[in-house]
Amino acid sequence: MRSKLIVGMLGAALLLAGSAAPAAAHHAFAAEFDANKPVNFEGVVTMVEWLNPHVWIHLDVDLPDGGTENWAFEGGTPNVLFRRGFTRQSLLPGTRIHVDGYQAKDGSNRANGRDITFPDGTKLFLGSSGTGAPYELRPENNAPRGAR
Amino acid sequence: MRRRLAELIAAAAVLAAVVLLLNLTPVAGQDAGAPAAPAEPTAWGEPSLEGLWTTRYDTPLQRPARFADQEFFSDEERAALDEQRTAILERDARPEVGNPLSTGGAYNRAVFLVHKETGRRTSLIVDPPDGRMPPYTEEAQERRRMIREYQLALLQATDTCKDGLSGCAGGEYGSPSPRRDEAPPIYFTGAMNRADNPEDRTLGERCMLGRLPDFGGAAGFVLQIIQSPAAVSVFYDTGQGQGWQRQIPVTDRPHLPSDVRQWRGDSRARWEGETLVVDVRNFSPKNDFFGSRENLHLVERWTRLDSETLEYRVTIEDPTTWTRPWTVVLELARQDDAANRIYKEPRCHEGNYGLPALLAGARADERAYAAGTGPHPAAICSAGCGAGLSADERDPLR
Repeated sequence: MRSKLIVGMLGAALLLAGSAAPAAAHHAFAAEFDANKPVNFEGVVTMVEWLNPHVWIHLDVDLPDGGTENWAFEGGTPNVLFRRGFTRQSLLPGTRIHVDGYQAKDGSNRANGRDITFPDGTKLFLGSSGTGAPYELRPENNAPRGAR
Repeated sequence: MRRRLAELIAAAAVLAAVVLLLNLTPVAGQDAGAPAAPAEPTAWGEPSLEGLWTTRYDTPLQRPARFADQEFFSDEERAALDEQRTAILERDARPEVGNPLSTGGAYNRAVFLVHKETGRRTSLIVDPPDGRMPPYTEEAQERRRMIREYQLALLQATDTCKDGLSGCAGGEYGSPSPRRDEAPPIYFTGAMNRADNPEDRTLGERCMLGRLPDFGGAAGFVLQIIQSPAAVSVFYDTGQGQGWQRQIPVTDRPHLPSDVRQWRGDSRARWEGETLVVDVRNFSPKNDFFGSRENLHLVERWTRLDSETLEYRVTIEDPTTWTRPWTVVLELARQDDAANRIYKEPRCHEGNYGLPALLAGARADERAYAAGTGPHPAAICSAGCGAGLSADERDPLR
C-alpha cells in the first residue's frame, strides 16, 4: 500500500555526487533519506512534535482507496522557528497540507519534508531559515511562509 | 476549514510581525546615536552580565585574504557583501530529484547561512594582528594529516572521488579500502564516511557540537546569562539544537585534578574590576576546537560595556596545536527579554531521531547490497562528500 503513495519514484540512480547535506546541516540527509524515493502527499496534520534538533510533523495522508496512513516529516529547528514567529499555533492538528519530500531508506513511514503547501498555495517552509537571532538581512523575505 | 486556516494564518502573521518588530529594535550600543546608559550593577554590587545576548553583525572569524591589509570594511564593501550574501540566500540551489544532494534540499539555502548584516570588522580575531589563526605546530599538522588520510580512505570508492569533488581533495578514486574495517587513528569528531556505530558520526549528528569557545554560527547564537555571587550561569543556544548549560564558579578554589577531563573543560572565575576573568582547562580529548583537544586552555574576559553591550574576549592557547596564542573578541548585543520570554530549550539528544535513522539507513544499504539490489556500501557517500557548492554559492564571510 505504501508503494502506491510514492509518486514519481525513480528506478535508477542518477549520477550521484556531492555532499549528503550542506556543510552546516545537523545531519547527513542522504544517509537517512532515499533520493530515489520522492514522496508527494496530501493529508491532515495530526500532531507537531516540537523536538530538537528537528520538529516532526505527523500527517494522516490520503490513500487512493479513501483511507489514510500516518507519516512523519522532519522539519526545522524549534528555537529558530520560534524566533522567526513560527509557533505551536502555526500548524494546528486538522490543518490540511501538501508535502513534497523523500522517504527514509529503511522503508518506514518517515520522510523529510521538502516543501509544505497549504490548500491556497501558500508554502510553509520547513527549514529553519532564521538564524536564531533577530537581525536578518531581509526579514520580510524570511518570515515563515505559513505565518504570512 | 478554509476559513479556519485563514484565521490561523492571519493570527500567525500578526504574531510574526510582533516578534520581528520587537527583535528589530536597534541596539543603542551598536548604532550611531546616543550612547547607551551604564549598566546597573547586581543587587550585591558586582557588575551585572545578566540578560540575553547575541551578536549584532556577521563577522568572519579569520580575515578574508582579499582584505588582508584592513581591519575594517568600508561602508561600500559592507553593502556589496550584504547584497552578495542576500542573493545567495534567495537562490534555490536544489538539484534534481534522484541526486542525494536533493535530500538535503528539504531545507533551503537560508538555513545554512547566517542572515545578519556584515559588520565593520574584517575578523573576530584581534590577535595576531593579521586577523588569522596562527600556524599549526608540526604535531598538529601530523594529526590533521592522519585524520585526512583516514577520511580519504573511506571516501575513495565513492562518486565523490570518482568525480573529483572537493570532498575528495588530496585523494584518488579506487576500490573500497581495507581501512574501512579499522578504527580511526585518533578519536573522530568530524565527518567519516561510515555509519557502523554512533561514534562514526559527527559530533553535530550526535547532538554534541556545543563547545568552548563558541563564536556563534550559521544556525543562531543566543546566550542567556544569570548571575549569583558564587556563580555565573550561561545557557548557550547554539547550532541546530546543540544548546547547553554552563556553570562558571566564581571562586579561588583550584582547578579539578588534571586527570579529570570534561567536555567543555573546567571553568574558574574571578572578578578583576569590571571584568569577569574565567580560566578554562581540563578539556576532554574527545572534543575538538579547530584541532585542539585536551591541551586547550582559555582565558575569557567578560565585560559589560554598557546596558546594551557585553564584550567577550578570549585568548586561546595550546602549544601542541598552535605556534602562539590567539585572541578573539565578540561584541554581544542585549536582546529583548519580552520577545524571548518563551524559551525552547535547545537540548537535542532526546528528540534526535536522525542519528538512529541514519544508522538504520546504512543497514538498509547493506541489505540492498547483499541482495544484489544496491551498490557496495563503501561506494555510497554520506559524510564529508563535499558541499557541492560552487564558489559563488558560498558565503564570502565563511
